[in-house]
Amino acid sequence: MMQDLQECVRCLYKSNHPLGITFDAEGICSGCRVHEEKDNLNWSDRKEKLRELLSSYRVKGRNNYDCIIPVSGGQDSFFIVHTIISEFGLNPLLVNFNRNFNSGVGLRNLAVLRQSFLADFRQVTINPKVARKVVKTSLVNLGTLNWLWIAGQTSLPVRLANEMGVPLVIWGAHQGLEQVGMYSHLDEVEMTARYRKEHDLLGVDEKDIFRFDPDFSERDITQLAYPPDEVLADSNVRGIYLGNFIRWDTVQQHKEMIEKYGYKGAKQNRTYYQYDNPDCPVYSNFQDILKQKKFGYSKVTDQLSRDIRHGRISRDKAIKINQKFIERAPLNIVEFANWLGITPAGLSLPLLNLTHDFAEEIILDRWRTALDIKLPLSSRYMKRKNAEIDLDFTNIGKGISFKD
Amino acid sequence: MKKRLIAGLVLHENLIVNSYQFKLHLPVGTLRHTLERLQDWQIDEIAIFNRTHSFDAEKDFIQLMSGLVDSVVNTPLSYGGGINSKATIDRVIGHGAERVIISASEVHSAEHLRHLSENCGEQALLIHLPITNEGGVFFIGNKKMNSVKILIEEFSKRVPYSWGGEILLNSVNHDGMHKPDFDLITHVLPYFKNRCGLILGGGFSSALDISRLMAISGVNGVSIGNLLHRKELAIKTMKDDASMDVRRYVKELE
Repeated sequence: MMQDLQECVRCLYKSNHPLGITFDAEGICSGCRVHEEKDNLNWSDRKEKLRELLSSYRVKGRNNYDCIIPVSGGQDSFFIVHTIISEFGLNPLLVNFNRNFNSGVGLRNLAVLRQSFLADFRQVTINPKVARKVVKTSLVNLGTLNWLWIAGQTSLPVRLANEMGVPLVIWGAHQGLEQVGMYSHLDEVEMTARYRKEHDLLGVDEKDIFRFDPDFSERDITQLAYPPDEVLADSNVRGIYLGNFIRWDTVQQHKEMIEKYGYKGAKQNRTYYQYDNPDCPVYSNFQDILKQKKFGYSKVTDQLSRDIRHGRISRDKAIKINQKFIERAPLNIVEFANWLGITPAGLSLPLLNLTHDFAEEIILDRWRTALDIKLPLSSRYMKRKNAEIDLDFTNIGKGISFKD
Repeated sequence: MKKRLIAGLVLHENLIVNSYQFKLHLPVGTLRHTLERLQDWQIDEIAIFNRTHSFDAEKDFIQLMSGLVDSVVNTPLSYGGGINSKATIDRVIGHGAERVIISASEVHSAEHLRHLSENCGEQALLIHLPITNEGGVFFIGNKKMNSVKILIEEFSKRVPYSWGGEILLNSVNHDGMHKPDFDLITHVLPYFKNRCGLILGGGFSSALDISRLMAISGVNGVSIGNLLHRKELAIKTMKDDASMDVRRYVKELE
């Protein structure tokens, strides 16, 4: 149960963190320990190492891109693109997997990104009907509505890299390293299909999603497919994380990007920090409720732990702020339900099954049996008569959405 | 014996972890997903070191394996963690392990080693020797095993000549440090000549280092750890670059 969990003596993470976490004899978690490297490593040397690495991928004759950068209207995209283009002078292809439910701020940020850096840009938008089907399935069976976007955003750049003969994909920070200290910065961890499947996609990749809904077809998931091992072995595509070579501090980087390019955040009900994920109207709302139900903590907990580690806030103060925000109601429930084609009441059904015990099952890798909510999608709560795609909420670039 | 690439997996409270000098352990993920990937890439063997074992090694192993009932593990698997008696060795082998890993501290003499392997056979035992280099003096043990600070020469006498098992030597100082300790290897090898084959581990992360190791007589294999988790296609790349045969996955033979 929640009260038996070990807590880090420095940050707010507990032993039920879904990525896995370890504690040393002093009760300090692996995330805080690895964070110490940020103050101990020679980052000038590391940046030089990055420069050499990037130079080796510079295309002579400029008849192809030097690298591929996955971007979105939120998070670290501005900083990554700024670093690669303005600092290292590479010629990237920017790629974006349209999450299908974007905020106006997110679309605006993406447009500003494109105009500020004048790099080539490619976006993939899957059929909104398929998008809804995937989101429904992942919501009911995996307790997340983010699976679609993560599956697409982590596979698209790799697929394109392979198809176009651009072997370098550049990411920002490695989530596992930043949150739970999964690796030392010196390990220079790269993207792996294993991390994608186990952690990004909760153990269920696009080949596995079929078993949750017999209506899925191969065509439905083509745009979510990660290249197989044999293909990657031939093309030598690799994905590196700038966070291994640059002292990563998202908050500082956001400040810099706001000043330089006008990156915009959005006020969010369940956290004090405006600049993470302003591009998704449900990420810090209903998705955050799901996270809290499953693991007993929210996005604000991640942000507070980050701020504790960077010395911006004390643990005691962070605990109070955390408590204040995790009790807040999510916004955009009706809009999201309308988009999904279900009643708002239908959203409560997955929640009823997400108890704190779920977290223990995650640790024991038996979450699939714990998540005993395999509602048939024909359940009356999951259907709306004459459900139509809500174009405003879908917001796939053809207009600006509600409220923004 | 064919030279092999072995996955050295450290288990810490049911998590596979990255290990650094036997002191720092960082979470990687579950055993299930680790095994899936290792099998995809045809690792020769898998060795699991359970550092947070209970007093009942058999129960630990059963619990571990029960979490994998719906996975197929085709790769030879060695398991260690609190195994210190013949009865436990026999039971763990009975439950599906190809080999068991026993700590150097559990080996008292050559006679004792023969006794331990009486039922399962010598080849079913793998002795784990973590070796620390303290100012040029190599001894078996690490901080956790402080009370068992044995010099290598002394320990080697506990291994019979022409023993059918193997020893896995792990450099504590170089564990997770991206560079193996060839001084250690040079120092240790003579003691085990004509006694048993050696597998070396600790800091191996490049094909060049692996090639160099495999060229040494008396070395049967290399154990790689952290590298497995941080790069895509690490195993295949390593084997290709080190000119090692990739073990043919059973399916390919059908």
